[in-house]
Amino acid sequence: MGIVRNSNKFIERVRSAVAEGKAGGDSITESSFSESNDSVRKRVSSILADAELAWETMFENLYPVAETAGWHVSRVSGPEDILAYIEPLVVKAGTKKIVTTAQKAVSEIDFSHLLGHLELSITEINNTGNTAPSDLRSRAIDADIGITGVEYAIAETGTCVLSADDETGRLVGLAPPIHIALVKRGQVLSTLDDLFVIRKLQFFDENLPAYTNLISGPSRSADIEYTLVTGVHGPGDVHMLLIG
Amino acid sequence: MRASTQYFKQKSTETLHDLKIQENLAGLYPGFHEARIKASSDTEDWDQLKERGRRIKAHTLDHLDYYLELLEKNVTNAGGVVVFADTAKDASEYVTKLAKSRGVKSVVKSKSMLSEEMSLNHHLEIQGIEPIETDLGEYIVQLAGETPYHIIAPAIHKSSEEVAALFSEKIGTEPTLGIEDLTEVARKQLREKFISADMGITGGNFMVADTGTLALVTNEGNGRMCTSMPRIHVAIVGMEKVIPSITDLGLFLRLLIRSATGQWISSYVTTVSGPKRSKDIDGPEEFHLVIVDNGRSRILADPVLRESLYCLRCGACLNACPVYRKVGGHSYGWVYPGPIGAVISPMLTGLSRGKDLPFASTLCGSCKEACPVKIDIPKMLLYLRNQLSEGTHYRSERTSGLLERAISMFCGRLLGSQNATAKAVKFLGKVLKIFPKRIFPFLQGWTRFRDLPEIPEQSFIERWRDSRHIDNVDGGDDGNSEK
Repeated sequence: MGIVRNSNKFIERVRSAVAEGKAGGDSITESSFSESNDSVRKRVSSILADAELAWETMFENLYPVAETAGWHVSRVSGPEDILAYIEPLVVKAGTKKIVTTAQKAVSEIDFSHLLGHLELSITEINNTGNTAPSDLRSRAIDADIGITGVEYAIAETGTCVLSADDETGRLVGLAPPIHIALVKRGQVLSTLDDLFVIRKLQFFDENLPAYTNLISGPSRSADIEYTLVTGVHGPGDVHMLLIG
Repeated sequence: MRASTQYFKQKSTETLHDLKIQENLAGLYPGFHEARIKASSDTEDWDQLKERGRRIKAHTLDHLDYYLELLEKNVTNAGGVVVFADTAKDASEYVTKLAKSRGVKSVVKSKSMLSEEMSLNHHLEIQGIEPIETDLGEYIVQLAGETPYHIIAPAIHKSSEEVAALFSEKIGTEPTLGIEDLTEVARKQLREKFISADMGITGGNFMVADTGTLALVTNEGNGRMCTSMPRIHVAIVGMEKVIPSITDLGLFLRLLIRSATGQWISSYVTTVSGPKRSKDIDGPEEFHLVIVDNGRSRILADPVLRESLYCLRCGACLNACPVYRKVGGHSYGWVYPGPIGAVISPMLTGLSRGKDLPFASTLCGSCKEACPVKIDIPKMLLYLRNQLSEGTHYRSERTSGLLERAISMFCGRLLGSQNATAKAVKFLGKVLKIFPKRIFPFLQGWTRFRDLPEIPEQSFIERWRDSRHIDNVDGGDDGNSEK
């Protein structure tokens, strides 16, 4: 059978095909594939320092691109502002159930103010073990709104970067029809390339996340007659709140 | 998928006469094609990006063995299982066996052209496992019992009325639903499937060697669902999809997405580096990466055709191609249609069977111009035409007979001599004036679809000589006098 866990035979065939079809001369690479640990680390420090120092500019650059990508973007000053933004959204959508991640940007908001005068359930999806994982999963699937923080945002493409970890469940920003992403100052990077250099360093440091989504606007499809429809499998209504 | 590339002429003729499909295909040009032109012209240094992408691809394929081994090491270290499959059949066998051994009853699938190569759905079904396509276009195509029509827009040949009728027949919805309602129906139907499926199967747009990362480009969110909900994630990817470094990914995302749909970036880019980490809240417990050859090493071994493996599967060459836009996707008879399909489908499924595909091109060069990694498709089509008639590289698959080659050689000699050609053509012109064209059965291959032009009394060379003669009398200097 040609299925091999031991890759030798497969790789051997590839190796001889590589040699046979070589057009002559070695092709040069422009990939920064072999960049050293030190050089990557230096680049990442300067990227992160920029994100911190120039956060205001980063917000300004991100804002219009994110809007074009289909996010509802808003600048907010803090938790009170965020609640004030969410409340009319909840009322308008007839929301009954909200799920949130356990990320710091989210957990530091006291949602009990919303609970006070609206009939709502708010569930934090975490792995503290207080609720069974299967139960948490159903709650994420049944929710009307998912509220998450971000790992980073990217100004070039209007993107929120969400990675799975012990604070961030995969379904919160995916299953509910409305997604609200909270972006803090210092989290915005200039370009896609900045993010991927950070990934390279995380790989060196053995803390590369297993799973990441770059989210740029609502779920969409143009599979029928080239006509754009939003909210196919993911959220059709997405909000990006820039805090600070 | 069984290749039916030998029916190109018949199927393309049918499509040309199908006014409904012609109407649906007409949207490709103002749709994807013009969006691509806008997005690429909005990108700073687009030409340099293309050149860089091309060079990185060339380099990677020149060292493919090295990068595949590195990829295998890094995915394995991250807790994933890497499997190398020689053929599509082997890959299907691995996936179905895995599904059976894990007690999988249903599988949700994100769009994958390679799974079409494998006829994976068929193989799962005969093992009693339900495969569900979750990309909207693929879902439509699966319900209709068809195959994808376009690399990135599988159901683009169907109007919304046809989709509404299909849903009504298969799901029992109202037959008059509009596009938004149809999408909502699909969302509800498929949401249940995501929740209950035990396995998610995806393709992969890129495999990053230096971090062991799979990258998926999607818009609907079904790719995210397939990689989040089920307890097992299987990715099936052609071996040519490797790129060296995660730091190259930004470049390739820009090239792919802007060429495919003309979006600045797709709604989602998902990266997977192994199964869920132990601390993670949720995610698949198993991650299997199936890397497939299925004839690709044959292309890799050919110095002229190797660059067809640079292909990012963006579909830009389809949208740019005046032939694809008329004959549509099914005419090509296999998984990959359009200009790039005319190169790789015959190579992967048999040259002699697909002998008409390299000729399904006007060689206008639009495909090469549209390609984000500048693949010289016209050059490869000419090369394949040559191999089919008189080349020696694939001698056993050559389709020309001895008589045909002898006639070609004779005609070649004839065309080499101006005088003899002119005399022969004039003679033919006289014969054609006396007898109707249809009495020459050997010309019918040409004249059935085209008009044979009238042959003039005077040949071009004779007219040229005469005009030079007149110029010289007027005192002109080679008919090219300077002012």
